[in-house]
Amino acid sequence: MTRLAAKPARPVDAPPKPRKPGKRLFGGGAGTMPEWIAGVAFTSPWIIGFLGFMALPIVLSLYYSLTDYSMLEPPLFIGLDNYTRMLSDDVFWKVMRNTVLYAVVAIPVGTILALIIAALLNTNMRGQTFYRAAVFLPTLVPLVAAAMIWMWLFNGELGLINTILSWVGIRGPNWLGDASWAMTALIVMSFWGVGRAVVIYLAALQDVPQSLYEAADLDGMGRVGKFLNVTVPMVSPVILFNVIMSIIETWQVFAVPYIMTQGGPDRSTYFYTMYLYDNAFPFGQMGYASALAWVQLIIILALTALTFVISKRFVHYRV
Amino acid sequence: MTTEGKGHLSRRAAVGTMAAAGLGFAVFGPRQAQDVPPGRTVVDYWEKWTGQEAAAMRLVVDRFNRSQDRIWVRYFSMSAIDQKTTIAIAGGDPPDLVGLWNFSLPAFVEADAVLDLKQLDAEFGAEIATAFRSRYGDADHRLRRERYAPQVWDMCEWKGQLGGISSACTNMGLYYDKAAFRAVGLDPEKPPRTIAELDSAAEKLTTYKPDGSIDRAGFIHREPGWWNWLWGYHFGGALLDPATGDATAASAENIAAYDWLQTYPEKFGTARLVAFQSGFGGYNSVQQPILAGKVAMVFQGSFIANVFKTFAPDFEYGAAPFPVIDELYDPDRPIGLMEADVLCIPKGAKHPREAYEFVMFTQRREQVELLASRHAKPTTLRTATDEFVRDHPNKFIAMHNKLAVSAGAFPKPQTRVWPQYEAEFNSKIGSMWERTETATEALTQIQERGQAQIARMRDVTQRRYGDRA
Repeated sequence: MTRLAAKPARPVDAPPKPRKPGKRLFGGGAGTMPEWIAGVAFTSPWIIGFLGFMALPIVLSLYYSLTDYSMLEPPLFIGLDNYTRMLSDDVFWKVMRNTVLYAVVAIPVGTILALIIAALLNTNMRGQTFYRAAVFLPTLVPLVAAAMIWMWLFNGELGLINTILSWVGIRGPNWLGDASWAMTALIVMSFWGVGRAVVIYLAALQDVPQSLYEAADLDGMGRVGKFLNVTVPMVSPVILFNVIMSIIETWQVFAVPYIMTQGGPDRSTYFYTMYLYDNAFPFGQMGYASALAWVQLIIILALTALTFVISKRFVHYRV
Repeated sequence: MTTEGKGHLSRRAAVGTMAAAGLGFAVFGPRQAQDVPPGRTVVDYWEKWTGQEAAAMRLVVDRFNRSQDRIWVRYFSMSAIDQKTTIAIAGGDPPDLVGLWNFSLPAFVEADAVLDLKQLDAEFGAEIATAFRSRYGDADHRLRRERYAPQVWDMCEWKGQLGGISSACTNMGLYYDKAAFRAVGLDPEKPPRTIAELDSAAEKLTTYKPDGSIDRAGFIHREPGWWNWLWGYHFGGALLDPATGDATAASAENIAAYDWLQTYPEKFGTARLVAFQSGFGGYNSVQQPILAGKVAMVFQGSFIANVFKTFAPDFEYGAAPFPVIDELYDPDRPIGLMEADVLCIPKGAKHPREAYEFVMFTQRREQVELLASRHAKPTTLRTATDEFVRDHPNKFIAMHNKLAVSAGAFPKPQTRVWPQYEAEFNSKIGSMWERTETATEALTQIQERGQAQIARMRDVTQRRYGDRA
């Protein structure tokens, strides 16, 4: 039996041993896997997921939009019928109108509200942390739970909102059951989640150089003047970001009206995505639903592009 | 973990991490909900019921699993069953058995997505009957029209194909609060039989608070609001022409029915009624409107007896066929909506023979009556045992059993585009109730849109199948 000699101890100040080639997955050198292969290998779970669950469905949905497809039978190619059908579909125009109305009111009012709240929360006041938390907290409540709470707040007979209105002698409407008030109720409810935008504006506000306010003070500008002439231009890139996100979100609004009104009464709160969903699943018209989805994508892209074009006149970027 | 240098991950460490993750998933990952005894063929069964109703079917499944040692039914309770089944069939991996609603069946049958039980019976029926005789001593399960309530059988058969068979059925009637009847001088043993009597009773039963708001409504068409489309049937109307299958929502009978519906907001005040109804509690709760004293009469199914039993066992209720116009009243031919839960074997099911054997088991009278009793529903069969009627949780089950075999019982209109057609009613009911549209205007629009859907479906079917359509 051969006794192995003891390995001599390595001095602590000795230079590091050269790495053995071929053991590392990436890093280059002779005998190692090329970096790009290693990169692809490690990102392959995401790539496979993207190809399988995003890219393929996108391509298939484009094909299905040209077919009649109930999912129970093979798709039947019908050319552009699904797209031309939209032109004479009253419900399509109804959901377009509802979605545009919602977006036209909810986005500007929500943006202005968020900006004002952020500006107020950016001032030095007692309990500032509490107020910031209070504004942000509602965004942490799951949408379904929030919708259930608001259903009770808007209740025509027992709701808190109508109870408060009754204290000042106003008989409140049946918010969600009345076609002329249901959309208003949903727009009001959309401000529940304003805290998320407020946080982003707050971060932007804290980045506005103090020197600009000092210069405005020297010019004798008041608080409103400073807000309009200093604050708003300086946070305008963030406003643009929030507006674009809001455009995308409002065109995809689904869960809240689906829970609170199911699109009623008289389809007054029936939104684009709800109609898309109804066609895809309950009605078994996946072809028409796919066409609706592509039109929705085109609308969102067009609105986003339009917003960017318009923003060139209003958005101020610091160089 | 072994690492070589900051920012570098060794192959050994990477592989080790992945192996540990895999091991962790194997040890702590998801498990099958039920352990399947070895040697059994597993039949996956998807059912839409939850809660009490799901538990009742679980009893039947357990009985079957215990009764033999060859098949194991694995029972899954889930929501949106028709959508999930559609996707599973489209994906080529359907369960062996699904519990659909009768109104979903035409779409599945026309798409050739479910197996014809008549063919399965011809193939396996005799063999299963022999096995049942030796196992249970009889073959009380065969799929024969004469064994079932006629309407139940008809709901399962579409275009000559038996797309499924009913595991349970129900029908709807007028449920009322006997104490409220007594309080206003009405005889609780004489519920209204005609629309005129219903109107008269509703007026007497409606009470007001000092501020003029409604305290209790005699009757509200929109409570619970699940069947906005059906009032015409109680006036002799229908939503489809039986000969052509065309939409007939705007027929004279239907217009008369919805004109009648509009008299209620006219009489009691639209805003007052809408505000009053917004305060109603949930169906399956102690705030159920009839239990909470909000309404005295309600259009409901036999299954509401389970709500009464759970939340107010002492509630004194009555039930009767829902009133009809004078000309249609016939105590021997009550009119009422029927619905059925239908067991179907999807095309592509891996174990159709085994699934069919379980279906046959559910059709044995003892299982039919067990399920119906637990669901508080009438029997699907033409006759019921005395024990079933005596021990049933719904005291008026004899009325529902009679309605189930009545020639006046009617199902939801059987058409592939029913979800779209019904959606039109649901969208228009608000404007009719608020009287912003007349019944004629609203029903004309419903008919036009319904007919457009029917025509489109016919066109696509013709293009898809040609002469076979």
